Amino acid sequence: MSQLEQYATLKSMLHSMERDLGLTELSSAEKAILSAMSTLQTALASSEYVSSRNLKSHALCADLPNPTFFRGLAGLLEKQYLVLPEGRSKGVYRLK
Amino acid sequence: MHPQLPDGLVRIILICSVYLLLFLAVRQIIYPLQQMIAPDAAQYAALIFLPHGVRVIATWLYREKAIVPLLLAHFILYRLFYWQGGDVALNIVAVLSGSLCVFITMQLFSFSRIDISLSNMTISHWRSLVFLGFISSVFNTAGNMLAMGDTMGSELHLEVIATFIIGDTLGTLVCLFILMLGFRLRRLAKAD
Repeated sequence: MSQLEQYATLKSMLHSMERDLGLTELSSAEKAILSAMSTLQTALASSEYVSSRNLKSHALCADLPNPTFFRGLAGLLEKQYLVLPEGRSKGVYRLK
Repeated sequence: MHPQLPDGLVRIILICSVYLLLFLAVRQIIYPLQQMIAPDAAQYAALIFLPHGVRVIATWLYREKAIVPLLLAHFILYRLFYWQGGDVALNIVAVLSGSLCVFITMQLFSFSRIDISLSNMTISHWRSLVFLGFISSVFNTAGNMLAMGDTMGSELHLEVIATFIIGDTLGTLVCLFILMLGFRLRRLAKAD
């Protein structure tokens, strides 16, 4: 695991703690996307991004209706949980 | 362009500095406070031992790569504050048990097919880390008791064992909580 993956792992674990303690402000769709993202990202190199298609097909997100899923993605981007590659406005994402 | 330090060196500096810092926080703040508030409760160790949280988180994240920095930091502190004249081997046992207790527990988990990595989505990871902190504390306590054996009366054994285990487990929990608040504050500050 690279430093970035370790950071993402730590962040995801701490986020689950926040969630359990009721301190998080995320919707259930956003939480599902975030959990799916941390699992998918662990398998990638530090410079790679997860595509929205891969995220949507993950078991945790597969049941989300499309509008809810994309609203969740936009919400996570706005709250700065996720980042896009430079010069892109959508399509592929990483945990910040 | 800034020259980048190798990952291994960054890891050693990070783990050692956080471990040393939290140990000093326990020694200078938590233990004196504990003595003021409840002088009779636990006279032999801190009831919140934050460095154990560093052992747990570092070993969970870095696995065997956390051993050298933990060993280094724990050896420095043990040499400075706890080293007892006499049997060097017993002191080494105490240092090794403190540094390796979490790694040994993780190996036992792995042997028993207990998966506490992030890829296991069926568990609560932070709760698993507190559990890891608790179990590993048993190994840590066993090593320390072996090292302190002759210098302590047998009537104190139970109290010291209980204090060690409570201190390590609460230390892990508080350490996770501090880290969570730190990440949360950082995120909120960035969002403003």
